[in-house]
Amino acid sequence: MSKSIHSESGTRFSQARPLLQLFGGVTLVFLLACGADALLQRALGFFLAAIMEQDAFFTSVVRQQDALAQNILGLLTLLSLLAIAVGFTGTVLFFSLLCFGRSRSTPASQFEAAQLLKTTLLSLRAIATVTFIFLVVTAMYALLLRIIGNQPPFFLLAALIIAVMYIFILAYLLFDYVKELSAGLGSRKQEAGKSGAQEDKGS
Amino acid sequence: MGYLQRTLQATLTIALNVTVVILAAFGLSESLRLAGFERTDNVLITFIASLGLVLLALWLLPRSLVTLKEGTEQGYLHRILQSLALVWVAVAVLLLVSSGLYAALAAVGVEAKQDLLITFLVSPGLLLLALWLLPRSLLTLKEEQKDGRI
Repeated sequence: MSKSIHSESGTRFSQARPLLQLFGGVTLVFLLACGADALLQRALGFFLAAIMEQDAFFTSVVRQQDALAQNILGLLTLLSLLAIAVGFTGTVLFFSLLCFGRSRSTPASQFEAAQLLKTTLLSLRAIATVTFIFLVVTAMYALLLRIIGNQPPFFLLAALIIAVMYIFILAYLLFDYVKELSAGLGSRKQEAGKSGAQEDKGS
Repeated sequence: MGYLQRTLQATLTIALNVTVVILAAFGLSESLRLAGFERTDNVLITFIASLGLVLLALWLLPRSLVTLKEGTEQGYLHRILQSLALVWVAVAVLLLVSSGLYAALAAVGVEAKQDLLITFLVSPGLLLLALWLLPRSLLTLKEEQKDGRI
């Protein structure tokens, strides 16, 4: 009896381990995305502060525009972080449903650890690199601001466009990561289905 | 590829690389200044971060580019530089279009605050168009070459 309990718990553990790896990978990627998003939005906040500092046009119209741009950036930061949180919850739910639904029919087939690690590392690298690229693009505009002086709407628009573009690309990277993971799971499922059919034929 | 071409390519890549590191250092230094860091701390942090970035860049550069031997492989840094250039071009074009729209709206007599808001609301549409035109492999920074249009 103890043997059967051990083997049952062993099977459960072997089923739970790849799931934990999967959720660990997803958490890591979404955490990095969240941190990178917060970092870039902070850098853009500093860029907006530099625009205001360089403002030679102390008119109420320009100040209103500055305040509006800051409000829009704040809203974008909030929305993007919320979207990442919702995306993370959705992804975890999606994979939970997919894995628990699948484990009844094909308990042994799981996501390959090496494939998961590769996909996760590629996504982490892409998020880190894209964030660096956008930090450099922001720095380019900060340098332009120092060189050519402040042009009221131009740099405000630059800050907002960089923020929106980064959010879109980050969303695409996260979507691409989830798509690859689900494709990996799908291919494993197909392989398991084929091997199951072969076993049926053999018997 | 001839030796001279490889030398030119290596020079350009390293020049671009250094420019990117300098720009990143400038951005970091500006951000630290605006965050209220003292000058000495600012210089020290920026220097250490730049050193790390230079080492990272050298590690990412293909060995053939550093030793000027074969020179056929395209390293990760090449793709990053390409992506950086493309992203910057996309932002620059969008900014020009947005500034044109802003100027047109101002000429029509729209209030400055509303003008900025309208221009900003139009820009995500233009951005989506730009991102749709960019090759997917450049966005995800993976090696797939299936998307040939640039």
